[in-house]
Amino acid sequence: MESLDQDLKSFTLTQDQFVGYDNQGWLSLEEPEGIPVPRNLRRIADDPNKMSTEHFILNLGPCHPSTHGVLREVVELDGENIKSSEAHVGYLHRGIEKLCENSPWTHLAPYMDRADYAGGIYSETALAHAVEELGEIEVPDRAHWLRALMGEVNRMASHFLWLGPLGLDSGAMAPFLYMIWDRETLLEVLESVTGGRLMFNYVRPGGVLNDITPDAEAKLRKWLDIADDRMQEHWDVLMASELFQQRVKGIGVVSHEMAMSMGATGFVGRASGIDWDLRRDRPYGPYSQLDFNVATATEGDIWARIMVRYDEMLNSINIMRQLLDGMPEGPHMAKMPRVLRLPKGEAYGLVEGCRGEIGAHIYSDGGTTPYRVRYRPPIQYHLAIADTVLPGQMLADAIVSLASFDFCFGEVDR
Amino acid sequence: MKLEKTHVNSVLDAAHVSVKSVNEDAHLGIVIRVEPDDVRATLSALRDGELKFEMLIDTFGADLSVYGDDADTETPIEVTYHLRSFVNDCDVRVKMRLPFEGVYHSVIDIFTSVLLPERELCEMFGLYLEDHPNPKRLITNPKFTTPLLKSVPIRGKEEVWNR
Repeated sequence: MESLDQDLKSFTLTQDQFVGYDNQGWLSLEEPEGIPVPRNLRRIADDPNKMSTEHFILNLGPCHPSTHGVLREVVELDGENIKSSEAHVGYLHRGIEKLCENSPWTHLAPYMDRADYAGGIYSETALAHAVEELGEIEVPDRAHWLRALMGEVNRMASHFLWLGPLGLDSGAMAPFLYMIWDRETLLEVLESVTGGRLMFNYVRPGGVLNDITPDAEAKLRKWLDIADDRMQEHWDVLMASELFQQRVKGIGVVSHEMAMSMGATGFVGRASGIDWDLRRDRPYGPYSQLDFNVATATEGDIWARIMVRYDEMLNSINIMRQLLDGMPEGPHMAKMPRVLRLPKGEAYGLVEGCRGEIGAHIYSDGGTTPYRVRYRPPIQYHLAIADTVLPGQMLADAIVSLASFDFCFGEVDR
Repeated sequence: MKLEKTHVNSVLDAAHVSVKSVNEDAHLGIVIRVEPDDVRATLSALRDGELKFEMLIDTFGADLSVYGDDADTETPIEVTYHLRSFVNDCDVRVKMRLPFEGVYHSVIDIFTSVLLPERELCEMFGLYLEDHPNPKRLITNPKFTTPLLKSVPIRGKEEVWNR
């Protein structure tokens, strides 16, 4: 920890002598020799003397509220205009993939919760899909429906935690307080079914932990009755505001080519014209029997991402109603051996998570623990996209741009 | 669309790419195994070919040095590229093997999405990252050894002493 001995003034100030308090030498001024450096990765502007103001490097984060987690975004400024940006991650690395290698197959769900901490149900489901694929485990219908139902509840809760703070970052305080009420209601439903508000440990290989209780179902139905009105209210409070629309229209544009070459899945891809939703195109669980729309846009700016996600939320409400009404009877857990052994091989489980395609690629060597678990983090790919679209924007727009990608750094660092 | 071996073979033949094998895995679908030198040609052929594997979904590694009967100590690091075609709705995986402390050549000029995952891959498995515009560690700091190698214990000496 010798790096902490250095003068911490340099961290809060903006000079480029700052080498990072974790001593990674990340801000070294040398560029690798002989390799063409893309513009967005270049540490120093071509000629600092050509800048209209002082050459200025600013560390956004790792504790800046707009980064929603622990991202250090190093931006190079000319006045208020961003010339280059580079994301530094790793502050939340816990070695989840390594820890998984020493746990039994059925004990991995808590690690998956901590990878994507705002949408834990989907991470757990992705891993459960992979394990069931490799072990050829038959899962009861009701378990699939419960997974989907709790997943949609979690998706709504996660989206509220994105839309509210997005308004906060663009200068609108009140919508956050409106939306956090809805999130709280949904978290109470999740809590009464799974036992946890954030770390669920609910989806297990072979089924789910608990059946839905009558209390939780009544509470969810009560919220669903007013959900459409609430969504209209959120629209009126935040998105109908012309001031807000001016802040987000035409900013942070991700082109279709960029989205395709940089691996944008989920809402980032759909906002840039990639018409792809795993719930519709690779249906798993009950989704092939449900009726829902997938919204796409072609603009690729922040407004398009908001529209795509707003539509996704309306569809989620619709899906939740269908799931509650059509829930099949039966057990919620398959008969599982006391110690689960998977045959040797590899499998991939995927799921349309809150932020994009969440995948779990597992290797088994025939034992009781995984040989290797790879968690496919959608946000890691979106982070590179955000890095690419920041140069050229104003600093105040960059805050909104970063917020619009809905980063969750437990997933990037694992 | 169900991807068949013949489809992949015809695309690879059209681009004159030599591969080690094209297999159909029971769970993963089509898996193409290639030599490290042929990876770039294979990925380009799959991206530009008839099947249009336009997006690279994921890149990751695995240390297969103690992988049961298939344990391989010569070239233990297996690197997997997971590609997807939206037009044809199918996935394919390209796999290659590297030795410990081998040189990993970036494919960033074919798929830009490997920008961050390649950095993570190389730091986690102790590979040398070449031809990458930003070849730094992504997640860990230099005091870390290569965490995901099987030779690295999950509990360090200090932690064992303190238990």
